[in-house]
Amino acid sequence: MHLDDERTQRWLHAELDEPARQAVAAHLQACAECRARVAAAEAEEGWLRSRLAELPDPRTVSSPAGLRTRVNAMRRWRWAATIVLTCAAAGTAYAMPGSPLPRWVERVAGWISRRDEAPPPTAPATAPAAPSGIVLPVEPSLAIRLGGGAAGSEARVVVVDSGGITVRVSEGQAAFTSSAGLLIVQAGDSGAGLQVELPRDAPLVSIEAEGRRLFLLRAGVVESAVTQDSDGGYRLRFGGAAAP
Amino acid sequence: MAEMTGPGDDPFERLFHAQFPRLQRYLDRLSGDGELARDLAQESFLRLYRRSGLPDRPEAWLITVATNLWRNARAARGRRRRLLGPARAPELVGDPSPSPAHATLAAEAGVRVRAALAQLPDRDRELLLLLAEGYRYREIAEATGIAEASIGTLLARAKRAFRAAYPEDPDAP
Repeated sequence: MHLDDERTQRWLHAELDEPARQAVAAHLQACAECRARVAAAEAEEGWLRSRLAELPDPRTVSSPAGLRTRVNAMRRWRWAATIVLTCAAAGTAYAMPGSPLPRWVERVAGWISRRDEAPPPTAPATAPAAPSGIVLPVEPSLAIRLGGGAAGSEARVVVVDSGGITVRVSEGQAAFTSSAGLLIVQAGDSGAGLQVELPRDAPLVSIEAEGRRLFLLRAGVVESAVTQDSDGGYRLRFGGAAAP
Repeated sequence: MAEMTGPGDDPFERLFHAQFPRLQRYLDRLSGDGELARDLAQESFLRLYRRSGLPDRPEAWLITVATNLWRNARAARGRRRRLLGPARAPELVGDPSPSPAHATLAAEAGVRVRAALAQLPDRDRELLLLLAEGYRYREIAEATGIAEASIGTLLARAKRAFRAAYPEDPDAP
């Protein structure tokens, strides 16, 4: 059986499955009429592609980033529209005759004003200071200088697997001053307890007090004048002098 | 369904760089309007980006959406053309005769091709342009809604129709 248009085109465009392709190839070997038909179809295909190639290519100026910007802008507009519509709906509901909303609002407002008028608490005027602290990003080199406070202030240092360089005040008060490569911790007059966390991947961190180096973390290795406690921390004592 | 991940190895970006130019070119040749073609191609990719993930055959999905967007745009402009009246007709999309400005800018050969394409029925034009962009029969079938088993027969007819619509050409087979 000779090739029809469907099989001829599929042969040209490599769209035949393997058994059909083999059958067509075998037929073409034996049939001069179909070989001529395929040759004519190939010539027609080539001519068509040449004509379509004469159309100029459009200039592509889009990028995925541009599309993303458009999507994000649309999302922001949608959010804004949602907020406006919600406010409008709430206003309408409030203003509708017979709406329970005004009563509810009144009740909540009364409850808040009663709370404001309540007598002041009898707690002592000098509440303990809230714990404070500082977190610094990992730098190539950082010196932490401890100073001030009463003798007996303590910094407990632990090496952790990740995060920034963290100094927390667990007891008393302390002030922090940081600049490139330097953090000065000044304990309050009554002394301070500090919790220091150093990430293991920090290249170089030293902790000093009163001109002495108490602790050094270099490339994951700790050098310290004190030994590790049972919880894996180093308890560094300092105090009695201002940080230089 | 493929996942969309971070920008380092982003399937959406890979797909965009691989598919956007040919989708835009297909729409440009289909509509004869470069600006509209770019807008429709962008809109198709926007819709793809807003999906929660890539479809199984994103190329087929894209040309289906793009072709539908083009049909909607053309229908909308057709309605506008009827409202505006015949005096505004020449500037509208898909008009068989290109505008004088376009004819001046485009190469003469390109104008002849556009004119021949514009004379074809929609289906024939879509088939030829999708074929020229290298889409497979399965993708063409999905985009046009034609049974895949008939694509070859219809392509042969579309080629003959184009040949008949094209002006006399000594190089024609």
